[in-house]
Amino acid sequence: MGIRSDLHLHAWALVAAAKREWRVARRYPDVFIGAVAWPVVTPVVFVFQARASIGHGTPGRTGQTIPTDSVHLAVFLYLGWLVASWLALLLTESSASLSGQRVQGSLETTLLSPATRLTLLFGLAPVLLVTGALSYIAVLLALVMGFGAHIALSSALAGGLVILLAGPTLAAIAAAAGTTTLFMRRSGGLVDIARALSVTFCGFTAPLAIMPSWAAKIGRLLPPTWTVNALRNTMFGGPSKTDWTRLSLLLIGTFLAISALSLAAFAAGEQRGRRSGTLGGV
Amino acid sequence: MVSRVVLLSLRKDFRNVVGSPIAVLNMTALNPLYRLILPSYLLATAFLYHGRAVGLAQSTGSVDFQGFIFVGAFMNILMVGAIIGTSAVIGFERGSGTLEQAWTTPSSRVATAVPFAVSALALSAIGAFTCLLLGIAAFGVRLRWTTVFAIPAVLIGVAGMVGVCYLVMALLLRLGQARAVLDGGGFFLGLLSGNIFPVTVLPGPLRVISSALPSTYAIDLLRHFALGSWPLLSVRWEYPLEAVCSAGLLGLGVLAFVRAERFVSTTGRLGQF
Repeated sequence: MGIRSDLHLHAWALVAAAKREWRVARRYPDVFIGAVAWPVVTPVVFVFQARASIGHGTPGRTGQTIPTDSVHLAVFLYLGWLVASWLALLLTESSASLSGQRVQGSLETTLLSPATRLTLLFGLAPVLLVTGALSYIAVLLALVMGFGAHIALSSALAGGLVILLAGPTLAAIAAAAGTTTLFMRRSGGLVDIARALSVTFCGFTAPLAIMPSWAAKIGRLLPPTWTVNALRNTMFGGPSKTDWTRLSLLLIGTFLAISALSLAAFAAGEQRGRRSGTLGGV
Repeated sequence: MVSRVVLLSLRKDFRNVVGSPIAVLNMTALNPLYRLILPSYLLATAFLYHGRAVGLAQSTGSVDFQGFIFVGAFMNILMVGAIIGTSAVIGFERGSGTLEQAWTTPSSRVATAVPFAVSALALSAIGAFTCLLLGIAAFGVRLRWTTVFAIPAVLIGVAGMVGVCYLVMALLLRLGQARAVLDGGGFFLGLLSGNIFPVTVLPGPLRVISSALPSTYAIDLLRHFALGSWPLLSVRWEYPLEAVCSAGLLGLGVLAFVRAERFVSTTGRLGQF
């Protein structure tokens, strides 16, 4: 078979896997309900905390790093937590999908077929991208209706573009985390560590400027940080505040690099599992 | 008789915990750490003025933002742990088919359910203390010696949490599975109790609900004695008020449980989920 034919078959398998995952997600829509509810509800505690932390509006460091008026503060916190909760969902669901197939015994069956391993790593990605879009729309509505934020249509659309660009990269990170299922009996702990690290370094609830310089340097290397910063810049300063070429190149490049690494890690895990006979072990 | 049943049941549940300690530690201590404590700690540092939480001091009377967060998180873990723990214990009993057997013991149904609540609270207490110790060791939390005066407030709050455990059991008996409702319930209980902020910043209607929760007073008294923050009311009034709210919540939980138990007994749905 030629390369074109191979690519065609791989694409076909990927579409089939995505269709299957979509069907499952529609049958159990709690993932969509959670994607809409949690990013809207959770940041409320941070908004209240910030209001208490402002006190009577003490001037100083706050004005330099984080907005202190209630609407801008809500926008800042909601956009940060949108990326945090989306990333958490991606990490959890990707890992749970692979370990679920392992428990059900369908992982070994799938691995017997010659289909590309991308189906296992990225089959769930379209569903998770839809959840990201739903979360974004829900957060915009909450900001406009709940906090009276004025968000220009151009900013809202540009924010949507950020979500669209960041989605594949964040899905690739989640897929990389999912491959650990092949190496460990339970990868939940590792996913939790990834979530804790992202909360610490990516500036979801606080700007990088307040962090120690070493922590800020780490944060600037991480795609969720680029996503949060791009969303905040777009909402606060308009679409022109974002360097779209740089952002696109960074996100697409990272997506390709992490996907290649994930595939290599998956192949290594599969080979190890086949040799030791632990592929379907739970 | 009941105390022996409770002890035996606790021993059994702790044996299960020993089998998967990382999962339990993750559920009770690490989850709140990265979902609540770390983000709120970072947010609080964004509002420091020359290293001092001046704004927080204007709102609460205490500049100790680390203590404020960790003390609130301590009670939050107890609350959420009670809810999730009860759900996990009931789910385990149902999954292994032993729930119906527990129901056939000669003790009253309300007493039969006590071990479930005690196990859930004991597990969440492990998580709460782990988190507090982490705060002392790594985040600079310093508690005053007067914290001991808040122990009765915590215990009264825990009694109210038993009521929450009964409410959770009632819900699970009626609905079978209620993960989303329980997750939401835990979140709102924490929010309304002022887990990481003073309840004085809550808007009016939420403030009214908040003032009916024993956990609000437990957190407030704990912060007052441990950090020196201003109490919501005079301590002389806050303790009795907390006790009344706790008793009310316990009564409400037991009542809901008795009705749910009667419902599953007549419909034969005890072991179904």
